[in-house]
Amino acid sequence: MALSLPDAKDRISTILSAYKAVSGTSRDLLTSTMTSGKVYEAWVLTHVLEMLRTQEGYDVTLVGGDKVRLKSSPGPINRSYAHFRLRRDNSPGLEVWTDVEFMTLSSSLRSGAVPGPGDYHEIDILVVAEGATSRPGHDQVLLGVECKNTGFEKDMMRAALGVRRELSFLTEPAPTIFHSWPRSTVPAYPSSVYAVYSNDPGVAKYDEAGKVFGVDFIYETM
Amino acid sequence: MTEEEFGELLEFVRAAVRSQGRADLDELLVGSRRIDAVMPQGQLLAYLEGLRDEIALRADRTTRQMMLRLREIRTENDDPILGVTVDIMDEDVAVYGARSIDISGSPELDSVVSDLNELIAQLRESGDQ
Repeated sequence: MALSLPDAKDRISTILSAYKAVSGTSRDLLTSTMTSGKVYEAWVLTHVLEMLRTQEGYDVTLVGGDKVRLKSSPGPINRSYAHFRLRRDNSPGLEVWTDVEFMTLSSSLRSGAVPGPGDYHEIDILVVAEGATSRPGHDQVLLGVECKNTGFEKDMMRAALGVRRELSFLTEPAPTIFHSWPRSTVPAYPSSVYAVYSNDPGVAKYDEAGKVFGVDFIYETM
Repeated sequence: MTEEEFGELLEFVRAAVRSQGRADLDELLVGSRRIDAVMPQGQLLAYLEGLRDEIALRADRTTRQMMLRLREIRTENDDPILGVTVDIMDEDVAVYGARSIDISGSPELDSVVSDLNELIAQLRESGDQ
C-alpha cells in the first residue's frame, strides 16, 4: 500500500517521540550531543585497533585499566590514563591515545618560544612510539585520526588540511611505519599518516583533493 | 507521494527535530553535503538517513558491535575489556553534571532505528509510483 503524507507524518512523530523519551531532559540532550560524538570516536577507535591487529599484525593490549576511557576535552598525554599498547615482532612498541594534543611543526620552527594555544592541536586518535609524554612533537606522530559524526561540512576539510600542515612538510611519497594499512607511503615528511573519518557519505567527495597532501577522507558508517 | 509532498514532509521533520531542542542536529544535517540532492525526495531521504545515523550512535546494537571488536583485545592482566566510558574533565563537569558517562546503547533505540529504516525504504518506493 502506498504511503500517504499524513501517514508519513504520523510515523515520523512516533519515531521522534520515542527518540525524545530516551534522550530526556535538556541536560540529557546536551550530554547526548557530546556522547554521540564520543560514541563515533569509540566506533572508529575500535575499527582502527581491529585493522592494526588483523592487517598489520600488531598484538594489542589495553594498559592502565579495564575500560576504554575517552575524554570530554583534549589535553597532553597523561600516562596514568588507560591507553593501548601495540607490539609486533622486531618492531619498536607503539601506543594509541585518544583526545591528545601534539606540538605543531610551526612551534618547532620557532624553537624557544613560549607555547601558546596556536602551538598545539588536538587529534582524536593518535599513534606514537611507546613512552611518549606530555604533548608529543609533530615528528612523533605516526598516525592521527579525526572522527566527525553525523554531518561533514567543508570547514572540517579546511581544518584537516591545517592540521596536516602542522604535522609535516609536503614531499615525494615516503614510507610510513605501516606495511599496508592505513598506508605504506605518504607524501609527507615526517611521514605521519593522517585520516578523517565520518559517517556522512559526503566526506568521500573530499578524498581526491586531500590525498595530494596526505589526508585521507574516509566514510565509515555504523 | 509528489515532490511537493516530499518537500512538505521535509519541513515537517525538520520542525519536529528542532522542537526537540536539536536545532544543532538540524543545522548539521542541512549544512552538510548530505543534503545536496536537487529534488525534495532526495533531500528528505538524505536528511532521514542522517537522522538515523545519529540515533544509531546511541543504539544498543552499535555498542554491541564495538564490544565484539574489543573482544580480541585483553588488558595487561589478560582480562577482557569491560566497556567504554567518557571521563568528564574538570572544566566540563558543571556543563554535564557528571564525572563520567558510560557509553552504553539503548535497546529502545534499536527499534527506533529499525522503524526509521523501514520508513526510509517506503518513502524511496513512494517516489517511484
